[in-house]
Amino acid sequence: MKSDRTAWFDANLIAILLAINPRGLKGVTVKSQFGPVRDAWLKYLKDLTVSCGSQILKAPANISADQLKGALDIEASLQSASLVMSKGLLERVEGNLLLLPMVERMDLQAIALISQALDEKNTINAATHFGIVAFDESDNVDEVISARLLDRLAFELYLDQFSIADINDYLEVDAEDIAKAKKRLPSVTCSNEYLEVMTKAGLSLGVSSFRANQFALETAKTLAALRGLAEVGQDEVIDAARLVYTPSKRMHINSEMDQADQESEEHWDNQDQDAENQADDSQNDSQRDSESDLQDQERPSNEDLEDIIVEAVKSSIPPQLLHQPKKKLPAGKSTAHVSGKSGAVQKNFLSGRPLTSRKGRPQDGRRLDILKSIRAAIPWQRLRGMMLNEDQQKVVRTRIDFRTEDLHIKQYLRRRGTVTIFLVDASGSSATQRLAEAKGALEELLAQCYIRRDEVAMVSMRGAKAEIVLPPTRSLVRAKRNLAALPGGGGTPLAAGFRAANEMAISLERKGLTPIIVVMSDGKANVNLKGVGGRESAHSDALMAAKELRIKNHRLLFVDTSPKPEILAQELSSAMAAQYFPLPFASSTSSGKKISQAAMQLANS
Amino acid sequence: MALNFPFTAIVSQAEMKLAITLCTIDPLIGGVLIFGDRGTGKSTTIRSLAGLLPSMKSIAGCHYHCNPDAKILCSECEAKKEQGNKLKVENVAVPVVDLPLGATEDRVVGALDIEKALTQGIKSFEPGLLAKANRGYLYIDEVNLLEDHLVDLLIDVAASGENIIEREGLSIRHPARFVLIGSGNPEEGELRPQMLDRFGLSTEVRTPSDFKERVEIIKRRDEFEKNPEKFIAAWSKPEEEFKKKISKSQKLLDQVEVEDELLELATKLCAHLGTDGLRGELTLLRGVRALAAFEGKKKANLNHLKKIAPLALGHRLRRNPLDDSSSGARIDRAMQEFFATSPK
Repeated sequence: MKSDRTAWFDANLIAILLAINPRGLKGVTVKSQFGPVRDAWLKYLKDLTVSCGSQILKAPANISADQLKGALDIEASLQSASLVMSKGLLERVEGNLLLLPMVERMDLQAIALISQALDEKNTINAATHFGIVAFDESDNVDEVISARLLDRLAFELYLDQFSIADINDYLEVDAEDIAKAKKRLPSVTCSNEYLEVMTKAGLSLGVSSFRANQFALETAKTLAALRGLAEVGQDEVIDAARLVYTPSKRMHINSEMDQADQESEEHWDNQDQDAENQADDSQNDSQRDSESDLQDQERPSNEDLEDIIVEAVKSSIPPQLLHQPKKKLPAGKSTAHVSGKSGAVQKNFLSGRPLTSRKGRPQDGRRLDILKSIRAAIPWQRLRGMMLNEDQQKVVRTRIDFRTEDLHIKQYLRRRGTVTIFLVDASGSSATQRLAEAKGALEELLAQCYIRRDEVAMVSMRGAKAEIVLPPTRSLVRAKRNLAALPGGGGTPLAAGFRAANEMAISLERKGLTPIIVVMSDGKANVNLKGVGGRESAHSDALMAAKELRIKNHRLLFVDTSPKPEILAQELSSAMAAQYFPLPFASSTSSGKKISQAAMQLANS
Repeated sequence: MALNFPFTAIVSQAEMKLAITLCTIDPLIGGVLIFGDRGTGKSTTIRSLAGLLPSMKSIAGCHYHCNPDAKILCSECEAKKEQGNKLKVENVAVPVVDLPLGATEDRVVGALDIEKALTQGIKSFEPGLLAKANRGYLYIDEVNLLEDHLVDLLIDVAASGENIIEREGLSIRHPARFVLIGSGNPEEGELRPQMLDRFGLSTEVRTPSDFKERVEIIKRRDEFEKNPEKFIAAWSKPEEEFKKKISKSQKLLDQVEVEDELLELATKLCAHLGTDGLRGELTLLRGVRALAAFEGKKKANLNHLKKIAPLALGHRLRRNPLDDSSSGARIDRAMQEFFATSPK
C-alpha cells in the first residue's frame, strides 16, 4: 500500500533526522509492540548513528536513580579506602542515544531525572547532548508513558501499523550526507513567515505546548540541512509539521476523538475564522514580503500553506488511532503519575515506621545504619586481620576493617496505597440520583486523600459496555471534571463491568497498590457479555464474572441501590464474596458519607 | 555554569513574572507557587531568576552563606569568631537551588559524609540542598508529586528557618531560610493544604493562544538556542535595568506606607473570601508594599491591593467540591462582589 510506504519512509526520515540533530530534536517515542518491524527500524537507526560516530546505549527497564546519576561504588570504595563513584548512565550517554525499553513501566523518579537531564544537557553545551529513543510497549489503558517525557521528545512513531511487507525499502542515506547535514545545520535559517505559518498551523491543530512548536522549527531546519538547503522551504515546513504535530501533542482532538468527523468539521470552521482574522495581518505581511512574493509568484500564500500543513498532519494520523476511541490517548496525558507507582513497595526503605535494619547496600536512597554496620563488623576484626599480610595489617589495624557484607540498611514499614474503584451502574431511570450518590462518595473519599494518600477510580456501566470514566487519580480537579460529564441511561451490563473492575484491580495490584472495589448497583443485569440484551443470560454472565472477582480475592463492597433489598443483588454479592450493603433511600450527601466510611473500614481491615 | 534565558526576554506571562519579581523585592512574602500545563515556560522563568539577583555578602568558606552582618551565625562561623579569627567576607551570587523530583532525604537535609566516615573514620556532616539554598531560593519542579516525607520535612524547615539533623550520630542544626518556589501541573495530583499555605503567592499559567506571542516566543527561544552568549549579551541592557529597578525597589520597600483604611479593606476582603489563617492578610500586606515599591510609589493604593489579591489569596480559598471553576475565576468573582458592595 502506498500510504503505508510513505509512512514507513517517514519513520526512516525520523531516524535520519535524529542522527543528524539529537541536540535539538531530543528524541522519539516509539509506540509499538516488540516485533520485527521495530527491530528493523532500530537497526536502521543504529546503522545511522554508528556511521556518524556515536552509539545507542540501552538502559535496563528497571533503571534506578543511582544507575542514572552514578553513585558510590561500595566494593571499590572499601577496597581502595577512598571514595569511588561509579559513572552514571546519564553521563556515559553524552553524545550518544539512550534507548529506554518499556518506558511506560518506568519509575517516575527515573523519568524525572531523565527529563531534567534532557533540559539541562541538551540546551547549551553541545558536547553533553544526548537523544532518547523511548519504546512504549503499552497495550492497555492504564499503562501509559509519562507525559512529561512525551512532551520533551520531538517525534512519535506508531510502528504497529506496518507489516513486514511494508518495510522492504529504506531511505538510503550514507554517512557523508549526515556529516554534511550536521555541518550545515547551524547555518540554516528559517524565514519569519514560515515560522509564523508553522506556529499558526500548530495552534489550529490544538498544539498547546511550546516545545512542540520549537521542535517543528528545529525539524524543518534539520530537514533543510539534510536536503542541502541554506534556508527552510515550503516542503520542509509541511514535512516538519506532519512529523512533529502528532496526535498526543494536540489537545482538542484527543478529548473528542470519538467524534472525529464532527471534530474535523469544526476544525475547518476554525480555519475559516482564522483566515478571516488573519486578513489584516496578511495585508501587512504581503506589504512586507512583497519582494519575496514577486520573486516567487507560484508559491501558495501563507493561508494556503497553513491549510496544506493542517491537511498533511491530519492525513498522517495512523488510521487505527481514529478507530480506537478515546481509550489510549486521553489517558496518556492524565495518568502520568500512576506510572511511578510501581515503586510503591520499594519506598519501604525510605520512610514510614522504623523496623529493624537488614543487610543490604545503601543504594537507591536507602540509608545506611552505621551503628548496626559497625556492630556487624567488630566481631570479625581479629579474623580479618589475621588474613592479611604484615604490611597490610599495619595499615588496616588503625581503623575498622569493613566488608560489604557488614553493611546494614534501615527499613521502614509503610502501608501500601489503596485505590478505591467505584463500579457504578449508570443505567436506566434511577441513574441520576444514584450517580449523584456515587459522586458524593467519591468526593468524600478524595477529601480524605491528603491524609490517607489514597486514590480513586471510577468505572461506569451503561448501554452495552463498561467504561473507565476516571482512571486512578488523587486529583480533585480531574475527578470533578470527569464526573461532571458522566452520562446515564441505557442497559445494565453487569458482567462487563465486573470484568473491567477486575482487570483494573489486577493491574493496580501489579503496581503494588491495594485495590478496593465498590459496586453500586441494583443487581438487575440485562445485558450479557456479548452486549446482547436479555435478563437471564445477563444474570448468568454476571454471576460468572462475580466468581472471577472472588477468585482474585479482592476486597469488595456491594452497595445495593434498589428500593428494596433484592435477592438478585444478594446473590451476586455472595458470589463475589463481597460485603453486602443495602442502601435503599437516602439523600446523596449522607449516603455518600456512609459509602465512603464503609469503604474506609474495608481498607483498614 | 549553565547559561539561562534572560528574564526580561520572556514574552507575556505577566502574572508569573510579577509574582517572582515581588518575591525578589521582598523575600518575606514567602515564595511563589506556579501551576500550569507543560511547556508554558515555568522552569525557564524560574531558572532565569538567578540572573536577576544582585550578589550578596557572605562569609568566605561557609557552607550556609552566612551573612556577616547578621547577629546569628551558623555554628561553624560562630566557633571561628569566638576563636578570634577574622572572618573573611566575599560576594557570592544568591543561590537558586533546584530540588529534583527524585531527590533523597539525604540529599535534601544533608547526611553523614560517607567518604570521610569510611576512609578517615571522621564523623562529619555533608550539607545538603537545604544548606545550599540558605538565603536563596529553593525551586521544586513538580512540587505536587514530591514524596510525602520530603513534604513534611520542607514544611517544617520552611516554617522554622532552621534545619535540624539528628541522625547517624550527628546532631547538627543550621540556618535554612529560603524562598520556596514550586511548580506543577494540578492534573497530576493535589498539593497538601499545609504545603499550599507555605507559598506566599500563587499563579496559574497557560500557554498564550495569541499566535503573535507564540511566534515571538519561538523566535527568541530559537535565537537563544543558536547562540546563547550572543542572545544574553543582546539582552544585557534590559536585564541590567531590571536589576537596578529591583534593587531600587528593595531600598524603597521600607518607606512604603500602607494606610489603615487599606489594611482594613484587606482584612475585610480576606474575611469575605473566607481564607483560613492570618497568613493571607500578611502576605497581602507585604505584596501590596512590594508592588508599590516596584512601581516607585511611596504610598500603597487600592489598585495595588486589587492586583495582589488574586495572587496572594487564590490558593487559600476554601475548597468547594461542587464549584468547578478555577481558583482564579472564583477570586475574581468574589472580588467583584466585594468591591461592588463595600464602600471605598
